[in-house]
Parts: sequence; C-alpha cells; structure tokens
Amino acid sequence: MKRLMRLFFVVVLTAVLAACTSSEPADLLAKIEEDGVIRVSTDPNYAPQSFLDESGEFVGFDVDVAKEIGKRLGVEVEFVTPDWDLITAGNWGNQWDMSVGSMTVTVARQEILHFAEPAYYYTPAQFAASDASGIESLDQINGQPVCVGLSTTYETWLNGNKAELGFPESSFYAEAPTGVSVVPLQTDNECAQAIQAGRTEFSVFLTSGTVVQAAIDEGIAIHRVGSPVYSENLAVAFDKKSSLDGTSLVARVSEIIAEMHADGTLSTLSNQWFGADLTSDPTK
Amino acid sequence: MAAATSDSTKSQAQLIYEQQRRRQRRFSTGVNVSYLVLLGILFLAFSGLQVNILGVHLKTIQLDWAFIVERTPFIFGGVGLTIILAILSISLACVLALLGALGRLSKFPPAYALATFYISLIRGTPLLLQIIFIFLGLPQLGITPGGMTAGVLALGINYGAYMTEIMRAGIQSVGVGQREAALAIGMVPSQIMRRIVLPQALKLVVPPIGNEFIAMLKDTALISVTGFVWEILWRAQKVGRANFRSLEALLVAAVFYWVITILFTMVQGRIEAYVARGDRTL
Repeated sequence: MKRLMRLFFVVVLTAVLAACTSSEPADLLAKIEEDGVIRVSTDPNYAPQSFLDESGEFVGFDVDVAKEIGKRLGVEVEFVTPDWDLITAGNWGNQWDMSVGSMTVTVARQEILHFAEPAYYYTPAQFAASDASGIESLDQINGQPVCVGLSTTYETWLNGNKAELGFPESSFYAEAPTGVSVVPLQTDNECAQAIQAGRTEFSVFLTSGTVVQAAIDEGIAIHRVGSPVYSENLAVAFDKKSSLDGTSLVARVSEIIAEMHADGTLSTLSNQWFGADLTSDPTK
Repeated sequence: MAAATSDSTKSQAQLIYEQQRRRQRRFSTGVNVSYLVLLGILFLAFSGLQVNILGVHLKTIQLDWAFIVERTPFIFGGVGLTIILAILSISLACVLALLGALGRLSKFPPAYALATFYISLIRGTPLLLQIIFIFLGLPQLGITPGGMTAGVLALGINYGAYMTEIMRAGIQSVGVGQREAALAIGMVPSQIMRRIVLPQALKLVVPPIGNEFIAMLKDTALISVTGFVWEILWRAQKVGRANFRSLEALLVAAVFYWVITILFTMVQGRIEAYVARGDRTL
C-alpha cells in the first residue's frame, strides 16, 4: 500500500509540474503560424451558419468563412465546439484561438473579447409567432411572454439593457415591446421547437432573421411578426484574457475580412447559404 | 426416456419434476409474449397514427423517419466514446473508492478526515455542477483539461465517493478471524490487506460496482455540457437542434443508451457468475 501511495504522489506532482513549466511563444499569431493550425470555435446548433452534415462534417456560412480566413492566413483550420455560453463568456484558457460564430458586437462583449473590424455580415433581429397565436403586429407582442436563446442580444434587448448592446442609434428600427416576460432557453432553436411541440408557455420568439427563415423552411407553423427590430453586426471574436498577445492576429484577420468584403468572397458565400447578400451594413 | 413410456412407469418424483418444468416453461413463454406486447405498444406510441375509438381521439407521436434514418449513423458514432468514457471513469472511481475506503477505516486521523471530507463534499453536490466546475475551474489553476479529461475526472471523482461505501462494506465483511489467522502466521498489516482481505472483499463488491457502471453509462451524457466531447447525447442534441428535429434525434440516442445498457447488464451477469464460481450452491 505504501509503495502505491508513493507512486500516486509522484504521478500527481509530475502532472502539476508539467502543467506549470510549459513555455509558449508570447504572440498568438506567431504561435498559430508556427503550429500551422488555427483553432476556431463553432456552435453547430444553427443551420445555415454552422451545422453538421450527414457524415458529421462542419458545414455552413460561418464554417466557410472560417476556412477562408485560415486559407488566407496560410494555416489549417481546426474546429472546436464549446457551448455558446462559454464562447461569449470569454476567458477561453487558450483552448481555441478565434470565434467565427455569428457573434454580435456589443459593448458588454467588447470588455472581454476583441472583435475583428469590420463585421463579416449583418443580420436583422426578427420577431416570429406561431400561426395559431393570431399575433400579426408588433403592438400585439406587448405583455406577451417572449422566448429567446440564452446569452443572446435578443435577451439583453428585451430585458431593457439597450446600453449594454451599445449599437449606434441607426441600428434600431423599433422600440422594445413593453411588459413582456422573457423566457430564455438553451438556444434560439429551442424556441421554435417548443412551439412546434405544442408547448404553450409562449407563442412569440425573437431571434435572427436567418433562424426564422430556417424554421419556416423546415415546415414549422410560424410567421414573421412585423419588420426587423434592429440590425446586428456579426464579427470574428478573440479572447482578451488570453495569456498570448492577440493584437497582431486581430489586425491580420481584420485585414483579411476587409479583403473578403472587397473581392466579393463574402457576398458569394452569403448568397450561397442565405440566398441573399447580407454583407453590407444596412445602417450605412 | 422414450416417448412411448407411459405415465404409470414414472416415479412420483419424476411427475412432480415434469410438472414444475411445464410451469416454468409456461411462465417464461408468458413473460416473452408480454415483452413483445410492451414493445409493440412502445412502437405504436411513436407510430404517428391517429385513431378514433368510440369517440375518443387517440394521438401518437409523429416522427420524421427519413431524418432518423439519415442521422442515425452520425449519432451511432458516439457509442464507442460513451463506453470508453464510462470504462475510464469507473477505473478512476475504483481507485479512489479503494483509497477512500482505506481512509475511512484508517486509525490515522488525517486520512480518516480526508476520506470523510471527500465523500461529504462530493455526495453533497450535484454531478452536473461538478463537471462544469472542473471544466471551468482547473484552467484557472493553469491546468487546462480537455473536455474528455474533465469529464472522466468529474465522473470518476463523483462515483468514487459513492463507491467508497461499497468498498468499505466489502472490506468490513471479511471476518475478523481471517485477519487474526493472517497475523498469527506472521503477516504484516499491508500484506494482510493485499493477500487476505482485498481478494475476499473484491468478490463481494463486484455486483454493486457493475451496477454503478451501468448507472454511469447514462451519466456520461452529462459530459455533453462541456461541448467538447462528442458522445451520444452531444451528437443527438446538435443534429436535432440545427434541423429542428430534437425529438427524433433524442429518440435515436435513447435507443442506443438502452441497447448498451442491456448488453452490459448481460456482461455483468457473466462476471458475477465468474466471481461466484467457487461458491457452494444447493
């Protein structure tokens, strides 16, 4: 028994020492170029942005954008799949280098994450309601329970924390409805599925126009309510708390995004996945 | 015995024995038929049929079977990982449980306190919380476990705490006379533990550990919350959500979990028979 105990302690000590003594280059871009791989987080809960095809391959608009960025950086892309909550919370612990996940740029997120400038595309925030509800206009949403995905801008906006979003005034097309109770579910898609399943806690939800379109395409009995309520800038994000310096990577990826806007790559991909060009800023 | 033999030539004992055999056969046939009926009802519940019986409208769950057929291979890809996770975790749990049991039986105050503290802390908090805590907490210490490592650590530590009591019961069930005898022939305490007590205790703890393993097979699903481990539930949730077909995907996952459990229950039966092979039976 004693020998076993001693062995146990040695193993634990070695593990702790190994974890403490590893040394890495200080610049994130340099490390990525040295490894030849950039690790990109993606949340394959959303078609057509990021989802898994029949053979389990990542496909979608975000996935293609990430691959193109990798190509222009001259490195391989490796996808990792942390939950959305973990991505937006920052402090990634160097488990992945970059998020190409349709993340909206907000003031609150900018405190913990770097965003590549400019945004790579723009989506409208859109209310939708079940066909059975009889809700047809934005006024009818006042006082209703409204479903949203957890940690989304929709949740923030409905809770009245517009300042936390920090969008320019021109991004907002409507005032938030009054007297709503917010029902946050794990992802936006759960809202549509709850309605489809016949749950009755809510009949309205707020999400990206692309998610509403995907749900309608899948034959779920919902419809758009009113026109979009605000526009979101979706950008590539990086961890501010990383132990490696990300400044040069953010600058390089920003350049790449600008190039992809200029040479029409993003427009082509957007048309391919959304059937529309969502790459120009609607507020300009 | 020849088929032509008449009843009159059989002894009373043979007749009673044959009657018992007939009853047993009838019972097991009845059980098997009932299983089939229950399975049939389960299938019917997912058939999507709607019927009107005497004015009562009965609805069943409607599923997109084409989607199920298309996505089953991808979800099946998580089966191996689920089993590996459970095997790694139960191995870690066994080691921790043994150390914990020795601590609980120790006369050395810090060892006893450590073991008791460990059991109390782990049994006093939810497994799901422990998984998230290990996944998010360890990186703060500069140790960044992958989802797999974090999951195995959390499951192993959690089950280890519960299994400590199983191990302790097993060790304590070995009669004190065994220890006395070993002492008398000049063994030292560590020898007694290794050569006399543990081999006998092991036989007793195998069935409950098998039980824990079967429970753990399903608790591996909780590791899906880290997002990094593509086991059965993670795969089902992702393909289900992205296609607005969660019910279908979860049903496929449920079938796989059930089949795995049935298979491992059979394996457990074999192992139990193996460790009990020296036992006297009536």
